[in-house]
Amino acid sequence: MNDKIEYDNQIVRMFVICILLWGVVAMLMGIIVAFQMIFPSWNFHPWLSFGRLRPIHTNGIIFGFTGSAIFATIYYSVPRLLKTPLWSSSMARVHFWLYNLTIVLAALSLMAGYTQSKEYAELEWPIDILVVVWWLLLAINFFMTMKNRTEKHIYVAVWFFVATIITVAVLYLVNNLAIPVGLTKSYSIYSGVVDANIHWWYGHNAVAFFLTTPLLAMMYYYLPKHTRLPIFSHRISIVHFWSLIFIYIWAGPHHLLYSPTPNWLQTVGMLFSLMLIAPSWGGMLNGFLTLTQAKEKIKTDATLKFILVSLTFYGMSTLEGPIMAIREVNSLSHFTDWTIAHVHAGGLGWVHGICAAAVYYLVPRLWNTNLHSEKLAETHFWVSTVGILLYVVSMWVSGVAEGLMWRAVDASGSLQYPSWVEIVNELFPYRLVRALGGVLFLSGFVIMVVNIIKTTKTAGSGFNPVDLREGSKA
Amino acid sequence: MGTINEEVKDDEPIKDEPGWLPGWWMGIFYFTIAFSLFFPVYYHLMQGWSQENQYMEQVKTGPKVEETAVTLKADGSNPFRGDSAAVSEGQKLFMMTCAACHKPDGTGMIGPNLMDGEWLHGNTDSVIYNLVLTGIPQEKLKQKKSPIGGPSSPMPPKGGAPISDTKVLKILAWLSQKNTTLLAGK
Ligand code: HEC
Ligand code: HEM
Ligand code: HEM
Repeated sequence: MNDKIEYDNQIVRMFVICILLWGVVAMLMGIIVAFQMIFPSWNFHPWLSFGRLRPIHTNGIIFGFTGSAIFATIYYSVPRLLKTPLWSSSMARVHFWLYNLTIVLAALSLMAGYTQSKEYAELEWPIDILVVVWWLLLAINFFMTMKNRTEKHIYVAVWFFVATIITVAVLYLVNNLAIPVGLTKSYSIYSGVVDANIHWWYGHNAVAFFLTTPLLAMMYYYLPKHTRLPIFSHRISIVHFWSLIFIYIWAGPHHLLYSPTPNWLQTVGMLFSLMLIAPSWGGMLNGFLTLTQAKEKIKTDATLKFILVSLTFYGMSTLEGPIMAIREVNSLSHFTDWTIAHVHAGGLGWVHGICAAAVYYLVPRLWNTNLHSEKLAETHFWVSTVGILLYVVSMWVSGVAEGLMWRAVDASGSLQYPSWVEIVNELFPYRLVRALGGVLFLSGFVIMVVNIIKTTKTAGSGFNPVDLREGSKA
Repeated sequence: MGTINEEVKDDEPIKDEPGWLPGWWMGIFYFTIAFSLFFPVYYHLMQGWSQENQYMEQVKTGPKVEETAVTLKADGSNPFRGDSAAVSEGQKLFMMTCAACHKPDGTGMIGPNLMDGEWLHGNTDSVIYNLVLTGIPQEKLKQKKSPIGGPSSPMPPKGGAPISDTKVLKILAWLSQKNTTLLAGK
């Protein structure tokens, strides 16, 4: 029975190529905006100015790079986990092309200056509709595949994908409701504090259901598949899955502390953030404890190293986040580079780590060959890890310095640094280090791209999986 | 190359151990839940905390700004001329409220260069003081275009910053020391 199932690998290959492509583009944008922050004269042309390239970086990295990795994993893992072919291969292809059309339109329209001015939801209404269409195609395909499954047991990775697909649909629809006044302009149906709260309910849960739950699904898939080890604890999976998705939804107001948002609502956001520590750490623990069964192999295996560092940054940023959600801390960290440090500990550390593991897992299997060079993968790991550390540490220092300088007052009660420019000048060295960290990080990524291109040159030569269980021959 | 699709099946199921729940982990979870039940009751209901109250408290206990209001002398000149404390405070204030348009060194960007001998609206303390207090609305603009090339735009009163008239005099004291073509008097 098993042998009869035809898995559609072509769609996965297509999305894997997108991971690499959009990854390079979006990180390049990140580097450009990082340099524009220290050399403002690099804003050469309105289309290439900071305000327009920044959303291209964020949309490109979240929806382009991370999105491709999520879709590649869904189309690869879900049919295999449920032991049934993908319900519709052609629907997946329509999804693929509409999705890429969206990314291209997004980049062009943002460069041209069209935006809804809502962070992470900048795209104007025609593109929003396009997104809804392909998201629905994905959802239908996913749930029909689930309906046809021959495997009764629904593995935890699939739960996390279900949560992702349903919740992102709801968030995206509600936040983007707007009244069009032309092809390129619309007004949100919300206003004032309600608008802000809807927006950050969406914004926070974009982090939760686009940068966290699908990545956990990926972790739950690739880690045990790659090591051939069982997941440490099904009980942890159950408790942390339900608590995570229940609690995450309420934490949005922590982006609006000390704002006109009602006091009680701010407190709700802060407390739900604190309650998120344990549910988040559940995923980290389950990963770590699974990894300990292959301790020795971490030394020689770049994919495992990526997962290890990724989980470490996940644990770190899900402790840092709740701390930043405490009012007193947030009054220092808000608007500063500290937030940027937090974002990129999550982004460069956690998200990219799992995505890199996904690429290294998928490519040899999809092209049926062995990875061109394990050594290059190892180099990618070290170069990117140093890049992350330079980025995150410089932004922590810069952020705390920035926050302290903003609030410093002299004996007369006047601001000690009344000039914004003076503070910006002070932060120059840290931001330079950040930009260089970013260059290093992208270099690591390019090493991976080269490695993958070389690997595909030997496609079809046969793939030999390595057994990573303790005691097995490597 | 044609065989790349069929070779790798890769669909053995993943095993899930029943496992256990680490006690310290559940401990953190229970603790944060208990704390979240207790905290709002204590903080909002018993302590009566709100950000509005916190703000009022800070205004009451924060450092006080003592300043005696000063205005132009009878002859129209700036009383802070040559007062070195006022001049250095003036420089800071300029950086804070004017530099965004006039550049930190005053050589002009959106607003004109204030360091040269050319004055569009006059070059005496009294004229310039009143000019900065009232700002320069659209219809009174004299610049054809801004020093960085764009169309000229209005200057808001006091550069748009909530500073006292006395502080404006301090800024102008600094300006008159830097640019001696700004003359004392009417
Ligand atoms: C929003 C930008 C902006 C800010 C902030 C600003 N200015 Fe101006 N300022 C201008 C512009 C534009 C003009 C020229 C208007 C015109 O075309 O006549 C100008 C003109 C002036 C002039 C007249 C120059 C002349 O040649 O007659 C003085 C003096 C001046 N500004 C002082 C100040 C001071 C002092 C501050 C800070 C309290 C300040 N400005 C803040 C935009 C600004
Ligand atoms: C328990 C988990 C987490 C909590 C409670 C949390 C909390 C916070 C807080 C309080 C802020 C600052 C808001 C502000 O001052 O404006 C923030 C910002 C942010 N966090 Fe987290 N965080 C968590 C995990 C993560 C993870 C894992 C990621 C990334 C993968 C992430 C991505 C972001 C992003 C992108 C922002 C910036 C939002 C903006 O544009 O302002 N967070 N988070
Ligand atoms: C080469 C690597 C990267 C560089 C150089 C880079 C650089 C930057 C810069 C300069 C900003 C703007 C900061 C500011 O406005 O102060 C930014 C914002 C952001 N980046 Fe990156 N980035 C990189 C990779 C990533 C990755 C991999 C992710 C996530 C997966 C990511 C997610 C974000 C997000 C969400 C924001 C918005 C943060 C906010 O608004 O608070 N970046 N990045």
